[in-house]
Amino acid sequence: MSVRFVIVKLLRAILTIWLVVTFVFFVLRLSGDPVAQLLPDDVDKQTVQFYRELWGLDQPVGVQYLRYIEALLQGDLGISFRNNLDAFQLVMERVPKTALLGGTALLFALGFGIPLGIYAALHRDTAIDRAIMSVAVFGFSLPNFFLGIMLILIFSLQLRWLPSSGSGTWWHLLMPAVTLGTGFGAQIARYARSAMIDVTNRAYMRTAEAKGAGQTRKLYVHALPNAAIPIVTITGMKIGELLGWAVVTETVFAWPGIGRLLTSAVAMRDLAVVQCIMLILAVTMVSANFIVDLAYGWLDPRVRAQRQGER
Amino acid sequence: MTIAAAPAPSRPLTHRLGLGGLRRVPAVVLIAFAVLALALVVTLFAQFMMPYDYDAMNLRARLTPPLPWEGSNPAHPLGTDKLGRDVLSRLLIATQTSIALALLGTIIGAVLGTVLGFLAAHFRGIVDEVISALVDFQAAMPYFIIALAVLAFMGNSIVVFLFLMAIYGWEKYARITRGLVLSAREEGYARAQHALGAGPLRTYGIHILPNIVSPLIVQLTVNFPDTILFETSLSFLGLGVRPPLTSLGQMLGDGRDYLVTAWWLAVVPGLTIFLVTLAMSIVGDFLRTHLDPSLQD
Amino acid sequence: MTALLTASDLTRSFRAGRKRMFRPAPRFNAVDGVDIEVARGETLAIVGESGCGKSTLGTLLLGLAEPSAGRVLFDGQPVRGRGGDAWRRMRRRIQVIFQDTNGSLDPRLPIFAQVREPLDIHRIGARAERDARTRAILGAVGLGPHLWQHVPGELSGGQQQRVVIARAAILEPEMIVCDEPVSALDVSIQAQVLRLLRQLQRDMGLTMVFISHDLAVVRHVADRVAVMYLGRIVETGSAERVFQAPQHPYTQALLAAVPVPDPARRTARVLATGEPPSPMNPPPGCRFHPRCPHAVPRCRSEVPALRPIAGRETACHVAGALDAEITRIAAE
Repeated sequence: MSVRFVIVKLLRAILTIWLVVTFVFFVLRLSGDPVAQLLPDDVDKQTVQFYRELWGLDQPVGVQYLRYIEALLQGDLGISFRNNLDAFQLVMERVPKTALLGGTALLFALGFGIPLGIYAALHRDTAIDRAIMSVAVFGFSLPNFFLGIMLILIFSLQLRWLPSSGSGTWWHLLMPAVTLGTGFGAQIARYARSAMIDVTNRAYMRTAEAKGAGQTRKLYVHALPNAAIPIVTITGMKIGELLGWAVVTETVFAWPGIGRLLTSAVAMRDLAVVQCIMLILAVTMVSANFIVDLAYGWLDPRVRAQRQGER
Repeated sequence: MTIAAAPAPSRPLTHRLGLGGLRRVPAVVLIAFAVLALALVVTLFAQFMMPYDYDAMNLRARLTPPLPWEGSNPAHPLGTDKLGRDVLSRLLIATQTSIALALLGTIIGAVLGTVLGFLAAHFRGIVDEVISALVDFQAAMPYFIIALAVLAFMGNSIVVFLFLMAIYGWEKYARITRGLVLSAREEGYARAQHALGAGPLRTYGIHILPNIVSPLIVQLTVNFPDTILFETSLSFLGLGVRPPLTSLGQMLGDGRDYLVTAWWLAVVPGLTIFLVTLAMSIVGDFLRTHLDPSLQD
Repeated sequence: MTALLTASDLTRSFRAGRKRMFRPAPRFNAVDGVDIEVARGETLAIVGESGCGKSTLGTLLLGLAEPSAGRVLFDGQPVRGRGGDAWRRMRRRIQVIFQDTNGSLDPRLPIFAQVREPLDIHRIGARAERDARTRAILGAVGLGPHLWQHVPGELSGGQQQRVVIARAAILEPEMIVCDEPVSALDVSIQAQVLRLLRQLQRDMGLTMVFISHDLAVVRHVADRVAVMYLGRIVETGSAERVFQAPQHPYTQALLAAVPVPDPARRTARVLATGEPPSPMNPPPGCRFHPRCPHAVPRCRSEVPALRPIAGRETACHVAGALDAEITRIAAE
């Protein structure tokens, strides 16, 4: 893999992060004075002025922006307006919880989606294929907040098997992870199926057949690595969507991750915390895409060869 | 060579869209179409269908369960909520709001994306670069979360909300349109138009657009459920549609607080969202295989 | 003879390969310094193997592409009119029939609308008049009313070509450039379509530029012929002279490849050896020399210019002498 390719991708990733950060910064500034929102209605002007100066909100937006970027570059993500804690620390406290939820959901989605999709592809146009794909259509049409609420109704309120909210034990993780992973798993199953069908239709699979390669060998040596490419790509591209759904899921199950922090920070107009969360989410998404790009080059020998040729 | 004996009349739309080959439509798809038709009727006529004013309170009939459950009241087939409002009436209005918003948002987004795709393909160069960069940016940022923040900070404005919904998904149309137009422009019929002296607007509008519309329609059907979920999720979080307006997501979000005592307040709107998105997905899948087998997603 | 179309020193270069850092992309000339005149009412055929640049020359003559050097004048005006109006006016006067007829029709529109469309584009006449003219031209090219509402895919290749011809002719242009108009058709249908083209030309007093690789076809229609090899014209003159007694070795090779029905008329067969070199990297001097059976050292270094030989122009260092030689061999 050429150095140039990595550098171009890296620059693109940084550009995207910068755009997100800038976009969020200006949208948040454009939408009213956070001081008025934070302080009680009856405070005197001097107090308002004090807090404005404290948070640098008295400056022109351009100056605020430059200061913000300058601080960012020094690793300072600002102070929460609410409780004067370091915003970054506040957010990082929540990150493990969201990572745990998202990671489990991802494992769940891939663990079910890929085998089911491949199985359906290998039994194309049979009853089992149609059954799996019907379930998949159900799966990704099922709004995740609705699934979560149904799970709570059934497993917490009716059967009383699982806790409906919080994050104390592994049992707490089960329903949120299933809720978050189901739609994603359904999509993965569909992509895995079509990727697999695509691969098995291609010429080299027919060549492998002509060579007399056994079914199993055909599957593992030829089909799977090639089917993996689109699956990896789609997984990376959908990470952002997964994060969005995580916010909803965390709300449904009162899961104390950054999604919950975001909704409360947004409600409180806690600029620094919101900006910090956005930055972290953008970095996560962009890194995921970056890794996918690298993985793509590694998985696809043609891309690899082409890049080496370009060097 | 097959030539009909009688002069063919002007061609029906289904034919021009390449749907001429449709013969047997599976029952599931027919049911899905029926669900969507019902949703459309509700969207258009909810005001005339609801038995009560959707906001009329009746504190003596609070939290009535839906029919056949014990304690239900035939006057409120889907029960009542915490303020004694008729759930059926609220559901109709909420469905209307959700679908109308999603439809508007989808269409604005589709038009925006298609136009930008055409512009990128027509002008190439710097215009193309900028639009393509925007497309990449849109695809690479956590849009749902940004929209959430924007809504929270911009406040309770249906215009902002609609705008955000329109922005959601435009890049898919732009990407598809750009690619299709670039290849369509190399087609002989487009070059022939140029040689005939036709302006670009004419070539794009009369010739290229009808020839690339199928994949765009498929994308529309793929995007529409996403847009509904976008709206309902934000409203569910209390950020999209807010009282006194109501939408399916907002109803569901409200109902969540009464799961223990009045499960139907969450289940009824949730089930409705599910049915509409499911129907749309089924129809979308069907159209995808019949309109454009090449489109993978 | 007044020239309707004049092209002078026409060149069109393309990028050959990728641009590298600090190095401009390599370029090659698909059309390299071509001079051409077409008189009003005549048919000029441009012939050559595929890849010789004849289609590119066609788009330059039509004004559909910008030449890298040189210019094309049509009736004294630049063929690439500046501004939308001048452009459009020029489109009314010059029309084109492309190689790929099926592709040059909109697959979704009934043919009647497509034939009428030039009138719509140029806003000629009222609706009823447009329809009347469309009906007339469709009749003239032999497409009956039962076909008018069909889409191109439902017609045969020959019928599609008639649609394309009708669409080009409906504007009553002064000139039509035909780029391989019949090469995709069956031989039996080729003759019909060529007859139709000739008839239209006679009836409308058309000037035609006829681009083809097929000398058998060109023979039927051309008044004058220009033979192209790797972007340059190597021989040009009246069709009769060029076909009867080709002077350039390349023309001779081309003609020798065409089956001639009458053995008595067969001249000494002169065949080019090998494949044409890549246009990306043309040989120096006469571009034909690597394949030429008569090449002399001079051919490798010096580019031959077109010069009058035996009543036509030929770009060959050895042509005149060669002619005498061949006559001698044939006499023996």
